[in-house]
Amino acid sequence: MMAITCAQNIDRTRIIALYDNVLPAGEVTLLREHAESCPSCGAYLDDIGDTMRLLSSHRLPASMERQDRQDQVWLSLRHQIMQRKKRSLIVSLAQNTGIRSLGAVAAAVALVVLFVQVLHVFGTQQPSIFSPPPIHFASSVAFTPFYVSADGATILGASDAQTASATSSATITDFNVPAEKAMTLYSAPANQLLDGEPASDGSYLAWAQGTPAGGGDTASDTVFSSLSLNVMNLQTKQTQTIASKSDPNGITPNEYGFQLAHASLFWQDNDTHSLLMRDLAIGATGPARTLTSSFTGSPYVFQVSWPYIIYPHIDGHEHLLNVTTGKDTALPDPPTPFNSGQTNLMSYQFVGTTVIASWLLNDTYNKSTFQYVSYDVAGTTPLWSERTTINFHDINLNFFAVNDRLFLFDGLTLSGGKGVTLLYDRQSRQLTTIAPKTYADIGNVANAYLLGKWLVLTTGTSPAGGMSGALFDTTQFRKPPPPTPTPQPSTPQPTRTVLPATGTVPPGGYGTMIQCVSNEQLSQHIHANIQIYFNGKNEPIPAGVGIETDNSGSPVDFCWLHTHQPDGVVHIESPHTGDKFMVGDFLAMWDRPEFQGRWLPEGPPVITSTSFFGQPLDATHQLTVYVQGKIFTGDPKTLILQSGENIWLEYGTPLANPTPFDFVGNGLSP
Amino acid sequence: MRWLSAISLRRYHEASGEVESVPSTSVSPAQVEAFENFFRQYESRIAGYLWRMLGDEQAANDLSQETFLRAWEHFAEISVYPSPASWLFRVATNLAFTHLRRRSAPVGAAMPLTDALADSEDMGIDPIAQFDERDVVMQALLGLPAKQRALLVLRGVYGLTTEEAGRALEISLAAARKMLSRAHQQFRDSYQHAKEGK
Repeated sequence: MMAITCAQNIDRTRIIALYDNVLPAGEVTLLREHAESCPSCGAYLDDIGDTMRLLSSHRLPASMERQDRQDQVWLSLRHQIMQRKKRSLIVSLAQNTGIRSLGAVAAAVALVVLFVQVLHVFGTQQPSIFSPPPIHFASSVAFTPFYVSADGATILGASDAQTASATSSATITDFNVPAEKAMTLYSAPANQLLDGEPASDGSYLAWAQGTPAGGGDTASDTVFSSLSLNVMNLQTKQTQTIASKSDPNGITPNEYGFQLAHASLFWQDNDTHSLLMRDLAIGATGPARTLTSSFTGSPYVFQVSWPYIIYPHIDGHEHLLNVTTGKDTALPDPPTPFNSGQTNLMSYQFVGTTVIASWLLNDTYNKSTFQYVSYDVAGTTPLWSERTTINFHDINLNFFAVNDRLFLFDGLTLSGGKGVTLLYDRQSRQLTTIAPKTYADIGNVANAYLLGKWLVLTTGTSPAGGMSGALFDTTQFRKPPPPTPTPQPSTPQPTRTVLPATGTVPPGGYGTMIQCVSNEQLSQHIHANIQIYFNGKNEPIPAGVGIETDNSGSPVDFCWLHTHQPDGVVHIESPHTGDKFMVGDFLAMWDRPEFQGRWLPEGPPVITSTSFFGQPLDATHQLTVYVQGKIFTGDPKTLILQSGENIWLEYGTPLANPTPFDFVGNGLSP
Repeated sequence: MRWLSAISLRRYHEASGEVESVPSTSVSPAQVEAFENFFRQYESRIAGYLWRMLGDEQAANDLSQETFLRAWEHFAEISVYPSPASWLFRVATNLAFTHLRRRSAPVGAAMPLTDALADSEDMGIDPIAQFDERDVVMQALLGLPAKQRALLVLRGVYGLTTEEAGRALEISLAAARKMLSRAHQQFRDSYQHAKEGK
């Protein structure tokens, strides 16, 4: 081979290959000799080495190396894993019901805009909607509920009790509905603002409080000299301030709007136009994360439905922000307001995985028309759009969706100034008054709250300082359940008509057809599940049976039958579709010396007529074999491992009655 | 009362997703535990790689999470790969490229000096020297085209072979070597330039 000279214009990629040490020995020698005599190539080789050394010593910032950074990512990821399971199921169910083809729906929506004229007489009662009857509650103190327990018996609320001398004290109260008794969880100093909300898992309570700038009480002052956002661990009752600020010129009481969702506290900071988040699952002292710095600073108008937030962006549009990915999307604007110069957008609300935009389309004497558009949170294409006309004027003080079928209007009518709450059922196109008139007769608007499954109606504050109200269980309004999801493995597969299938011993004996190679073979990739019991106690087949590892534990070879998890799932991954393997093949492979460390404590994975995993088989110690829940009396080693099949090998008694393995739920195709 | 009204207003704007309940499905604790071990083993490398690609801690953390979310969906397969890191780097690379395409702001706002100093002091490191060198290298990296940057970081920082790094970028070995040669040259130039500018 000729010596290399620079006149040959050395290809730099060959120097790279030399550095990578992937060239044939002869070429390496020639190139190295050349590099020693050629200043240009020698310097280039040195440069490459310098660059790689420089990069290999490049440090991350300390904040990236902190353990709590990874902890936070993991916690968030863990939440996502759980959520994704749910979402994938929702998508699956929705697809089954044929309502989620976005393209089709978008086209359909363009054609099917419903004009619903609901002519209903105000005050008409339809008590049949509320069955069973609501839970009524009354209290000697006025309080605003912000939490109702699942059984409706416990209400957390903020109370502001006033005395005749006009001083006030504010408390967060745990109210027991049956006993009509309240226990104070937290009491703020006099004249301080309060607003509270518990985490959905009941672990934390958050609230804001402040000092009125004018030294008056919370009823009269509208600015505060200081304000703080606090949390209480409801288990330990310890409290901690998350954020605070003071300004002698005054702070609006809504400076810290907040919500608790997904074990995290979300709050706004109007000074910096920021929305922030802190994961309370890792403790209230964790770092805050700024989600966006484009918040308008409007009070109490961001909403959280993990992992999404709707918030007003400084660009004037409502935005949808994915907390985990950072994707920020502007939501579509409502049409031009009917009343020039005013906004007609009433609200964007989450309902499950959709967002419902609602606004007042038109409002004339004795007739108000509302428009709703629903969007999937994944995009801005309308899923459906609908209008509703209600023959009452100015009833639109508030609107919210119970679900995507039931909408609630709550407000004050102009006729008589009475409070009213109306429930609109999109399915039946029925409008029902649900707030008893007597509530509104007090003079205050009857308030409606949707707290979890509970619809809470209250009177507001009566002159006597008392309050009464009612809880309605909204679960009775749920849509019919979707079709049952994909059949579970316990249901025989349609293509299989004969159970169980058996084979014969291969010429070379069980297991001799199985090879172990460096890559998983995926021409055939099916799964069966084998559960082994000794006297009613499950002994899981360990993970890694059929996976050969090196000294460091890294996989080296995969046998065509192997296990990844100690869940009994046998992966059958072979190079030919239609390859058939039997239980005996799996046991024989498991019995190899390299897998001895994965044998069960009872003994080696061998089944004979007289023993089972080293345990004697006789009149008092019998083996019972189930295939798909049915007893199989033949030699279990001859059972062919079929896709989605459950095989239970039960030694002795009592016989266990296990649940068939959920292949689909565990992300495995049966 | 003033604050009661505030609560009421907020509540009117809320809607609960709980009413629309969905059937829950279960993830076995063993699966999650195995995945957490996997996550702990590789996440710092992926997050570090993404930070070097994006120059943005929050984005690096977010995309690292997204990378592992995808890993979770294929965990049964990739957990037994001889080199799961290659798969993770490939996914992280694709996510980083997508992120960079969508990002309107220019790449590479380096961490504010004051933050960096505080970070380093916390760790007991000479902050000035560390920041200087790290920042110079980072500036040089962020000055490279994204693919060149990815290739150089995978090769130089994370020790992938040129072939493995090329695979993460879905380019041939020959193309990877050419690109690495160009990336190296440009990095050296940028590094010298940044160093002189300090």
